Amino acid sequence: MTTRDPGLQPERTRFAWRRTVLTFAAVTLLLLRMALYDDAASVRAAIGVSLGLLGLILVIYIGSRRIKAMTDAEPVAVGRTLTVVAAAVLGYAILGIVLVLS
Amino acid sequence: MNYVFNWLRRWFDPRDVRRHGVTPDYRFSLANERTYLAWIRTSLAMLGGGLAVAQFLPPLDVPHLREGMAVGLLGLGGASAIRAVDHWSRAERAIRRGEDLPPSRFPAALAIAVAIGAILLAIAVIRQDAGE
Repeated sequence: MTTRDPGLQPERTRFAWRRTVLTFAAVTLLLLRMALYDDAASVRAAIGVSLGLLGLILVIYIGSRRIKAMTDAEPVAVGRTLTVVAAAVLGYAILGIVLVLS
Repeated sequence: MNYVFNWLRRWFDPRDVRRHGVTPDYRFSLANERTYLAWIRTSLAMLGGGLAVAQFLPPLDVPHLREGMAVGLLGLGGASAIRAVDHWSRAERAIRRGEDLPPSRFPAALAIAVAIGAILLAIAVIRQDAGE
């Protein structure tokens, strides 16, 4: 029989998501700067900026949904959601490598 | 091959986790989720570090060292993110089954890799300073 946690764990998880989204935003800024390096009018820059912004929007969306879900009775995370977030990070890593080497 | 397919499927199928064991106190799952997010932030920090090295470090004497380090950090960050999902998945199943949490060598390996990289970079910077 579990007693309802009066708000500590869901709140901590909310904060954890906010910190994660903020960190993602900071890395997006670095990524955008990298994409615009040298020639801001190139195809490289256009692709880099679009993918970076898409990734950030995706993570903000997922984060807001999880944050709202914390007010549910049993807000347990689903594997697919977490895999998508990790895929976004991996995508950033690949995009970053491509931008560094180009 | 079937084993690999099942292993990957655990990352994507939300119902798969619930096939194993018993649903625990949701606070354990939230704690697992926060651990996962901490690892994602660690991965992001490595991505940020790699991008910063590529953009803000002046060219070093050793050719392509700067690019090499940037790519290395970015790669480590990407690998960390993948591993974060895997660890979350395995921990969630262990919690449901009432087993011990899976042991993890990754944090130690990561720490060693970062330390080695930092030492090499320090040597490169010192040698560059000494050469001027």
